[in-house]
Amino acid sequence: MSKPMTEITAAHILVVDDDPILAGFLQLTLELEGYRVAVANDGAVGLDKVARERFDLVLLDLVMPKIDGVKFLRLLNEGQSHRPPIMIVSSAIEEKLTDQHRALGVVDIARKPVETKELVTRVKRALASSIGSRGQSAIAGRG
Amino acid sequence: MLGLFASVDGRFFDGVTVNQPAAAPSVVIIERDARFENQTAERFSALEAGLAKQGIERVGYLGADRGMVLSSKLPVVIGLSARALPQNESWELNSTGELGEGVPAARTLAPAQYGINRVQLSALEGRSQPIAVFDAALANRTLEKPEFLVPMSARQSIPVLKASQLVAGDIKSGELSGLVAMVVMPEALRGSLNTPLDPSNSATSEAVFRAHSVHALKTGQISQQLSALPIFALLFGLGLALALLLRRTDPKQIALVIPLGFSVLIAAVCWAAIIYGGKLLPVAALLAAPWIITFQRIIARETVQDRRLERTASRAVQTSFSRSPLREGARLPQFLGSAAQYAGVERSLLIELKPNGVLEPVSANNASIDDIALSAKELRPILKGLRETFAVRNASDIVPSWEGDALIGWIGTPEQQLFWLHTRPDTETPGQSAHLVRAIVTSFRELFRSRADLNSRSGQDHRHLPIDDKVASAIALVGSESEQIRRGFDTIDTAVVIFHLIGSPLHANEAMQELYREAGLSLFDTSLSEALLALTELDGKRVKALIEDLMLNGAEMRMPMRDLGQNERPSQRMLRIAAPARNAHGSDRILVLEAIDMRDVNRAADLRKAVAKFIDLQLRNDFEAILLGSQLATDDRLASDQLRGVVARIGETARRATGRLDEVASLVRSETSDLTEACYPVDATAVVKDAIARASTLADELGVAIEADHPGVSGFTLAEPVALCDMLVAMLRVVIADTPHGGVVKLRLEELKGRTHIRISGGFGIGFDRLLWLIANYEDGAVGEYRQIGEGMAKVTRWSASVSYWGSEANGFGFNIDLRGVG
Repeated sequence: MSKPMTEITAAHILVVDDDPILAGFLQLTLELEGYRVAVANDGAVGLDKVARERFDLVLLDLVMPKIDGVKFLRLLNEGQSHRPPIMIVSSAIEEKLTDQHRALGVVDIARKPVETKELVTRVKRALASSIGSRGQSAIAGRG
Repeated sequence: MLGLFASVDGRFFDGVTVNQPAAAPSVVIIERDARFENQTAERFSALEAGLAKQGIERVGYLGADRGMVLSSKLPVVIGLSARALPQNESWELNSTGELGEGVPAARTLAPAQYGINRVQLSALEGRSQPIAVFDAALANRTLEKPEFLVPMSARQSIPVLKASQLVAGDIKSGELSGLVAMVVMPEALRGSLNTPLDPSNSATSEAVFRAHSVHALKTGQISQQLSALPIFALLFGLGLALALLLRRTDPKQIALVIPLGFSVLIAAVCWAAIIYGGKLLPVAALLAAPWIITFQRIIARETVQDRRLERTASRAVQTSFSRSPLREGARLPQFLGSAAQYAGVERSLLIELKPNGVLEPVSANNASIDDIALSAKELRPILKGLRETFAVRNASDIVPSWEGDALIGWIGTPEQQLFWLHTRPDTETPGQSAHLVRAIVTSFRELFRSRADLNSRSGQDHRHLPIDDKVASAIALVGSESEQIRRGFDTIDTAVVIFHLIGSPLHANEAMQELYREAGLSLFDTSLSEALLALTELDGKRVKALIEDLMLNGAEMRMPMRDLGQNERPSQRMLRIAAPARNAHGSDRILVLEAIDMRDVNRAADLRKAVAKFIDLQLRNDFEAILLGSQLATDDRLASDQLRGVVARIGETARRATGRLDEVASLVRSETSDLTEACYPVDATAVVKDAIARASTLADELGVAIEADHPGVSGFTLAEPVALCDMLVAMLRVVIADTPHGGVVKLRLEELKGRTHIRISGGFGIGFDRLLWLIANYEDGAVGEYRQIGEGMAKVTRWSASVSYWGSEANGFGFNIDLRGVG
């Protein structure tokens, strides 16, 4: 018995944040929403994961040791053949999405702190926009 | 005094006239020798005939003989003795009977002046008319004022002939033409008078003295003294001229020159007056006048200066005491007690020995007068031994109840006998404490004595000190306090210069002196307006208006200071110029110019801004975690073990947030002045970018590129950004300067977990030992950048940071800065 062509699979999200508690809460929150979530505690690990796995969305913090968020974006755009959409979740940025951001693959910016509900909504929206833009199969969470 | 003056005048006259050149004789003395006297009564006629033959003008017989037979060939004067009439001040001649054609004259001499015969009279007051004195009658001269001085030149020849020779015709005829003959007895030729020719041996005969007198009268060489009115006028004129001259000069400076000069001039004038004018001026009085007047002027000026000095001293007292914490002298002893406490003196008792022998406590610290175990009688000799000495004596026998060693010393003044009883300082550093106690005692003693000296004239019960001593005390006190104030001024960070109202500089502290040096100004001759023109962008017109307004209305103004271009970092200083309003109408008005470094103020603002940013960013992160955690905790889908984990993490996050707040709380609450060197969470990327921008000028000049590698978004690094930036700039400049044209200097900023690492590298390289020496000896005047690097390295240790460096020739060199990351 084969799977139907339109089978909905849980979206795979990578959380890149150097704060392990916050990254853990984000992972748990999104997992409760039915997503598959991986965590990287710095930019270098995040890049490594992106290189090895396919992610539908990356939740990216900007202020991180070793490779900060901005550098992560630059390296991601330079080196990776697959570039997942990026949603920046950081306290060090204004929530204004510019063309420069879009060019680097940023689809949304959320300034900390973000309510859980809003975060989930924006994650869904980001996933939807990325699906629309890439014309891939439906990817969804539980809700 | 007048006698002394007259005596000096006479001596002066003698000195001048005795050495005068001789003139042709105009009088000859004829001695009535024995051979002549043995002849008949007609011998006088024969003598006169002989004299007439010689061309003699007139004959004078000094003394008359009864039965003298005189011829009428020559005018004859006969000198007769005269007697003073007791009823009045007139005289009359003692007649010797019939004198024939002879004219009688008084054979008198004027009294000697202080033992010297130099004065003669031309006439005496007679009953009805003046009686001519023999000399004047023989010279056929009358004087308006009878008294005259006889000049007696030692070189003057007075011929003496024997009467018998003339009678016998032994003298060639015509030899004595034009002379007058004074016929005298041999007794009149014997030395009997003290004259200027031989003042102490009575060697001059009456005949010779009279011959000089007759000669002077005949030749007009006599001198006469001035009468009282011209003398007074002369002295008054001289005094006035001197007073005017001295008024325009400082008598002290010319105390010798002016009187000496005048003395020479007066002597010359007096000499000329005798020689050419026949007047004896009051030379002694005239010579004394310049000295007397000069010293009187000095004394008068000294008196004025003393009064002025006293006023100054009073002002110094005011300055020293009234405006200082020591305005009440009575409080001095209290200061002594409290100051000694700081030095570890546990017990102290200041006592005063009153003039009546009673002991009174002045101030006490943890002690009482009752602690003294000795009676006043026993104590008095001990205190007497210490009086007015610097000795300190063991006082354990005086205050046996005091634990440890006790000491006693005198610290008063001659008027106020104060003795200080105190315990030996009990501290961990007894040597230093004892030194401090000695310094306190010395300071107290000086202040107390100065105060006593300065106030000595104000109270009747105090001694009366000479003004010089008071002024010396005031100067010493003011000088000492000025020095202390100056040192205090120099510790102020702000650059300050104080100007007199007229705009001349009064005092500048070290910070302002440095600023003047930077601006190329001379502290001593730069006026306020010149300083403002050099230190601000204001033009002359505005500076003038500004100063005018301040001088008239007081208050203060602020203006940006010109960038002096001495530092890489642009100037951020404000100039504040103020004329204290309370002094706006006082005579001691001042203007204060202050350069305020806004960097300190800005630095504190930057700090608070950085802390706020740190709190904002870090708490947003923590709140995000708490928000998500709390939502998760209420989610039914969560398993119980997951729930426990979530709650635990919420607590951990809350604690973490609190810790972050604690970390910066002290910075937020500190005073601005305490923050200037404080470290706080800073954006290291921003600091590095600032440093690169500042070093790029040099890099561009030398054609060196700066290759920077730093995070796009920086975390938080603990540092003082100004010091860090200055150090980075210095490091960059060192490496850039050592890099060949076209080379690259690398700067890498790396933020790791909990650490921030900055690495600067490049250049050709210098030996490590040389590099080590340059950086390690920055306090010894190492040049520019190395000095700044050394100073920066000394500072970074306060931020839990470290700096390392390496270097070798041909392999470049560089610096590693390892800083602590927070948040």
